[in-house]
Amino acid sequence: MSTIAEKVFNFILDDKLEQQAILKDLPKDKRDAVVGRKGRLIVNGPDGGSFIVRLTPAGIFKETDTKDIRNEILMTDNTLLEILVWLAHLPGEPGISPRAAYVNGDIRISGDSVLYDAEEIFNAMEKHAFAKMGPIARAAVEEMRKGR
Amino acid sequence: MNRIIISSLKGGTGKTSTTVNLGRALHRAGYRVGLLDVDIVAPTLHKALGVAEAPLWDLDSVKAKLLPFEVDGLYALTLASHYGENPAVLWDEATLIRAMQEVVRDVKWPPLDYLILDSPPSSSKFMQALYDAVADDVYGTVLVFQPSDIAVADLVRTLDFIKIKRVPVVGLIANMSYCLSPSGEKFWPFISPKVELGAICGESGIALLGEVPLTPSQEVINLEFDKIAERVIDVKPLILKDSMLAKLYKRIAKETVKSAVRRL
Repeated sequence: MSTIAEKVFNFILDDKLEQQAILKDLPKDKRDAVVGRKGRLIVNGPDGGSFIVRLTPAGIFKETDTKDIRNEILMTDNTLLEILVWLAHLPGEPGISPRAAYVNGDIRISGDSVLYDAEEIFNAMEKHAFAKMGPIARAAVEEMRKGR
Repeated sequence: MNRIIISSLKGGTGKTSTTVNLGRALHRAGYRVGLLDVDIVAPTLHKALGVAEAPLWDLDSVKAKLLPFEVDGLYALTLASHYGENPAVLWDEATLIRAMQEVVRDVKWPPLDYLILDSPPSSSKFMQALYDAVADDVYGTVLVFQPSDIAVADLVRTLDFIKIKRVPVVGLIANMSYCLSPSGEKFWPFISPKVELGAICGESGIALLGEVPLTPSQEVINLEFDKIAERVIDVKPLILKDSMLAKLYKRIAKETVKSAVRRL
């Protein structure tokens, strides 16, 4: 059975057409530099999981090979819950934005650059994922809280 | 590009306002100036500039670069608004140092004559790493201190730190050096006795770049910083030597005794 983290992650990866369009919009040298790039998300806790992805011309796909991972994002499922609360826009519950969680040290991002790599990731999520994540975030928050 | 570090191991001495005022004065003198907030934990440069600008990120470029914003002819960069509204930055020291190194290295500045770095108040590994990051390419450091006897111990520590790191000293600014009333009267309103930073600098060979009053008049401050900017350009930055510091410490000891007597 999928964990909450996996369901959310699958939702983010779902729209391959949009991912292709984003890649097409990039300048060629940048596109060449990012295609093939691999990253791993690790969410610790019972609602978490570990997921490796690779960026290809056809979109972002999951894989299992751990070789040449450029960025790792590490957080607990408690932090994931707080971020989902933030994404869900629940009345009276601010949650925490991913940027704030990063600055507070609740999210760690490994990579060549502390600032730039994090900015690339947050920028992509803010532009292309967060706006449509309200409904799934609300469902995920409800499910996580039921299980606790 | 001449890189100047505004330094004081003591907090609250006015490093950020000095960064902005010196930057504006150099700009008024016709120089191209950039301001860089290297305080990763508590950046305040944007407040002193009166802006809430986020840094721009050249995300479409393969070679990662931050882009400064422009305010009144000055170029500036601070990470503050990148973080959001004043969050606690709880990174471990290694991450803070890496972020600082990136900010020092990876900004796409336009052609500049001076880049002024606003540094945080500490002698931590972070500050040591900052000095190391710019050591090969720095015009010098400008020290900012209030001339009160409680600040002198920190001045001694700062000078020792700078001597060890072998960063050239441009000079010292006595900030909040006196109060200036609307009628032009100068007075010292603080409980802690005043020490004469001019005398302290004089014997050791460190330039006293200026004495900046506490005043609501930006015009007065601008005039003082115009003079300071001239001195910053003219002074030959020097590497501190033990003999200079010995003279300086002797003078500081004298001044401290004087201020202790005044306190009695």
